[in-house]
Amino acid sequence: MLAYRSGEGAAFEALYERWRGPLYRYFLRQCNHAGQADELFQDVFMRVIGAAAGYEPTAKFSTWLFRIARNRLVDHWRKLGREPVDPPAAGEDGDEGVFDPPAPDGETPHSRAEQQQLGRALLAALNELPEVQRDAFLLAEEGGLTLEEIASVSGVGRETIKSRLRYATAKLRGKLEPWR
Amino acid sequence: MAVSEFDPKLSRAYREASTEGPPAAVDAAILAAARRQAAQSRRPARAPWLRWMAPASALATLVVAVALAFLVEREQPQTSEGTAIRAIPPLRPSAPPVRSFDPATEKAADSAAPAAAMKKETPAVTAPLPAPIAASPVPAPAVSTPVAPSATPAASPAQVTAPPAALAFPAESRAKSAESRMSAQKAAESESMRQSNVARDSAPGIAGASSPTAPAAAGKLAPLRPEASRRSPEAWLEEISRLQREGRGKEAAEQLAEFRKAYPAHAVPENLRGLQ
Repeated sequence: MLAYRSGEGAAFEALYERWRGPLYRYFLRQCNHAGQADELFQDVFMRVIGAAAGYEPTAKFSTWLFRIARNRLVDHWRKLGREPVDPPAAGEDGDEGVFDPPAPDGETPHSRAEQQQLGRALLAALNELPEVQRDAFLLAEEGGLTLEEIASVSGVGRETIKSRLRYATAKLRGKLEPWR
Repeated sequence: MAVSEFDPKLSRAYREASTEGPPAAVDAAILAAARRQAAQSRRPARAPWLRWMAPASALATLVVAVALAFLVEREQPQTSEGTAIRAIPPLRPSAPPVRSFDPATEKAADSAAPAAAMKKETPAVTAPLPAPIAASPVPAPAVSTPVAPSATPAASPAQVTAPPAALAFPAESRAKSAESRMSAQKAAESESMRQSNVARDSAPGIAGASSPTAPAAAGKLAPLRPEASRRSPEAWLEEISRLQREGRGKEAAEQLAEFRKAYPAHAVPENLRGLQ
């Protein structure tokens, strides 16, 4: 980002190539709508380009990028009248068993089909998660952020993020139980 | 069984299932905007005229400094001369330039020639001197009389050797002449005008006043000066009155005219006011 700030266009292209997929999927999973994801994704990268002149490396680029993205997403939710809240924890003790999908055994048509079904089931289960839990999961999986970084981006405590992630993982495992 | 907040197997399954990316049109729009921004960043941040700021500042400073120097030089020439005086160390009697020109000054002292003749012999000494100083008659009697040295308190050894040094170094000559002028002006307050006729004879001037050769020449040219220099205004007026009483009115009138030149502010007795 510092190289891009000094005028190296190729530096931005490398950054974009690295983060275009994760950021786009973050919006796509949260909005579940390709058009809205396109708009939010483009808007965030335009903000990144506009902020390049004053960029200071106070944190990892991924943390900075996903902080912008999450703020933009919260604005989008507010515009739609949605206010993501933590769901009640009753009945979610996090003990949903162990998710242990079969390891891919070659490139047989059967195994590929099985993996695709598993993927669709996982994405469907992810779509059913509460927004804040899905948000924590996506920030961890797509952004590669740590608990502390997710907590910083989300504006909540580390333990809250840890709890959200635990619930999200448990629910996903429960949804994927048939695939064990 | 409690589960961790991270599950590697779940993560792997998610990464394999989640492979979407933005449309190509969005990619193109973002990359185009990034290139435009990079092109703007490569432009020099400073305005072109700012590149000339440092040289222009230096030039302006130089112009102001030179203009100020010229202004000071033009408005205070006397100060500049005074600075030159302070910058020149005092000459010592043993200085080589002084000795090298001693024969010339001795020659001038041996000859009791009038001032014009002396000017011809040593034009370099008299030429740079200011006219009023050259015409000043005071130093000659002050140096030539035994009691007069106090009248020229600034007559130091350096001043004694001033004329030869002046020949060798015009700048030092000016400095010495300025010092002599300072001392001469003090002594001339009472006697400069009265000795004008004598001064014409001893016109080697102020340089002669501080020269070791001056007493001899001055003694021959102006024998009456010692008496005049010792005479007080009251004594002078008394002598004029005596000349009037003795019927020597013309001499008394001449003396009174001399007195009025020498002491223009001094009151003249009633009985002498009729003299012209």
